[in-house]
Amino acid sequence: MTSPNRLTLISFSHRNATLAERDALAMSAADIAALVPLCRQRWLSEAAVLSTCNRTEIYLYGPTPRTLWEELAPEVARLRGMELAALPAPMIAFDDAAARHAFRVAASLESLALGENQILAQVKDVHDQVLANPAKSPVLDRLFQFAIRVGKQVRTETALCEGAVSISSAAVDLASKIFGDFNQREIVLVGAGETAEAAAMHFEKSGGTRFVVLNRSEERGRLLADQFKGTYRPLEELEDAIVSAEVAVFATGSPDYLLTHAALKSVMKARKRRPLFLIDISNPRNVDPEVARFDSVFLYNIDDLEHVVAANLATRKDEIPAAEAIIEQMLDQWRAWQQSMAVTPTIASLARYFEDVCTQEIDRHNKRISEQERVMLEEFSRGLVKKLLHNPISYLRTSVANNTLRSEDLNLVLSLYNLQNNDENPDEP
Amino acid sequence: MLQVFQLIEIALPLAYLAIFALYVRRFVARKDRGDQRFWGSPLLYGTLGTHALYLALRGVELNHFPVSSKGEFLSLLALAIGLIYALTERRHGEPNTGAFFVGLAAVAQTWSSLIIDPNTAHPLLHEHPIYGVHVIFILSGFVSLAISAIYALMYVLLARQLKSRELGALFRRLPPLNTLENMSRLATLAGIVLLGLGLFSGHFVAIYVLDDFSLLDPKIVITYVAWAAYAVAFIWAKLRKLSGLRMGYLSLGGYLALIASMVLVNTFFSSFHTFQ
Repeated sequence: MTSPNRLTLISFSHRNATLAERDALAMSAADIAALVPLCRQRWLSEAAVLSTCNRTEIYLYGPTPRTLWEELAPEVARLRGMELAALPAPMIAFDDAAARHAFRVAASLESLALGENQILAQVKDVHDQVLANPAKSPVLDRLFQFAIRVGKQVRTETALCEGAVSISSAAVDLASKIFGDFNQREIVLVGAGETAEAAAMHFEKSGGTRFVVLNRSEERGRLLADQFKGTYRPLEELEDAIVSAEVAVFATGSPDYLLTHAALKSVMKARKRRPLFLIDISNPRNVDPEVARFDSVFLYNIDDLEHVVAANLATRKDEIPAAEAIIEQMLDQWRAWQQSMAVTPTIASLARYFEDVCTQEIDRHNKRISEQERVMLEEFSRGLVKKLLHNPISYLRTSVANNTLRSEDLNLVLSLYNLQNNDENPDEP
Repeated sequence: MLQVFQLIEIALPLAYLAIFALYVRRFVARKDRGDQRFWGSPLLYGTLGTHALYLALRGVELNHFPVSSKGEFLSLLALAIGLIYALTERRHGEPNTGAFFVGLAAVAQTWSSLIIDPNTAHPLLHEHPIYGVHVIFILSGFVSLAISAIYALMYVLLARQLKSRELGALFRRLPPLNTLENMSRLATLAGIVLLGLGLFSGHFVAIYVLDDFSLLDPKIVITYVAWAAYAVAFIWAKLRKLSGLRMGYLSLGGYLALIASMVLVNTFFSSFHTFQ
């Protein structure tokens, strides 16, 4: 007995797999290219795989059996070179639950960092993967179209993805609120480690172009300066460097203050009290907290930035209901589309059946009629078929729109004209 | 023509209120929709054009500059607020502060439309063309300085939030400090230029029209002193490239001192110079 077509999701994410398991399950493009045709061949299913650093998810649409995972697991284990027993238990969902999950993923509600933006691009990649597959996957194509729409709508209409949620991006957001943009603004990086590099990357992404790196080790300092097309200055020139800067990021391992109130006094005088944003992400701190007493100095240390991040995360959490409402709206549209899918092939079969009858009858009399009469008969039969089919087609479409379509109705139509035998793929309502 | 004016007097407050609603919606929106077209700005420019045309036609039809009654003066005030704000918005492409200024313009125009009367008796002086120019410049100059002070106040409030690390609603809604400072500076410059033109055109009117004009009139002296102080402070700050929180306080303080001096002069000195 054939199972009905259904949407199936097999998901591994931070919710049900450890980091090591997620790493082991992450599929390469070659793995995906091997798995998708296998699913089509074995279970006559459309298939797509979303594989990121944080989740591996297999979406299938077709007559998949209840025991699908038991059959698929050895293939996944083989592809990833894992022991079957080492595979974690997946989260499996069907139909609406699977679609809802795909929409939640695109909206970034399922992400480890709530509201992160990268996932939408990854969902778009999966859609591209579906479209690039030579075997057509109309249902998964539409599923990911819906998911991308959800992702975009959530990002446009809610603040779920707003506000920085990392220390470096929070620092850049604050600097933007002071200076607007970073075009021609000088950004001083004190230290040349990973933290300074991460901060520089965020500033560069936001338009920063003028970097000055100060570091005890000249070699590492020059390396970072070269990476961001900046200049290197020795740490001893810190005060001079700050005179012309707008932003200074401190990220060193120095146990003492590198910038004191007394030192900054002369700096502020020299810079005519122009606003200065000091970001101290060192531990222990590199900037004397007393410098915040200067009118135009905005000093944020790692604790302050962590508070900003926590506040932004709280704001994002407040937006979850709004995002979920968008998902439910889209799920309604998805259901409506699926239902319309249920009658579209039936309508097409019905129309094809009537057209075939007409063609056969006209062909039967072909020898006895002129070309002109044939054209006239064809026009007549087309008009007649259109009128005869108008009511049944309207009934089917209205039933779908009103959500009142019964499987008996479809079966009746199919039986009346013996369409099951004519059509290779009768649909499930 | 008077019927057309009555229609415009009904339409203008409605238009300003509708535009005000658009600016408020943008200001309080949970999310900055930077990529979406904001219709408040073009609607504001269109309304300001209509408003200016209305006042000009009213002046021609009633044969006096439209500053002869409280209603006309309030309407001119609304137009001046709208125009000076529109100038700063266009220059900096930043409509997020519009709710404050369009709101003021809407209040002034609504009040004007409620009390305006076409049959205003007016002194002969109000038919003098340079007198009208003088009043328009002086009014626009004071409005510009007021707008500059409001931007300075926004700067101070936002800077204090940033310094205290308590990032509230203003942090999310107001433009960056640098933009606020530039907007304040532009409005100050407009104020100095317009007030200067107003003062000089006022001299012209006084010399040719008034018999008892004296340069020692306290209102004139105070206005000149205030204007000169503003101009000197502005040039000094520009030359020394001064900016930041202290400039915000200076701008606010300067405007408050100007208003205080005008109130004092109007209270304690009676002179030729009234709006009657």
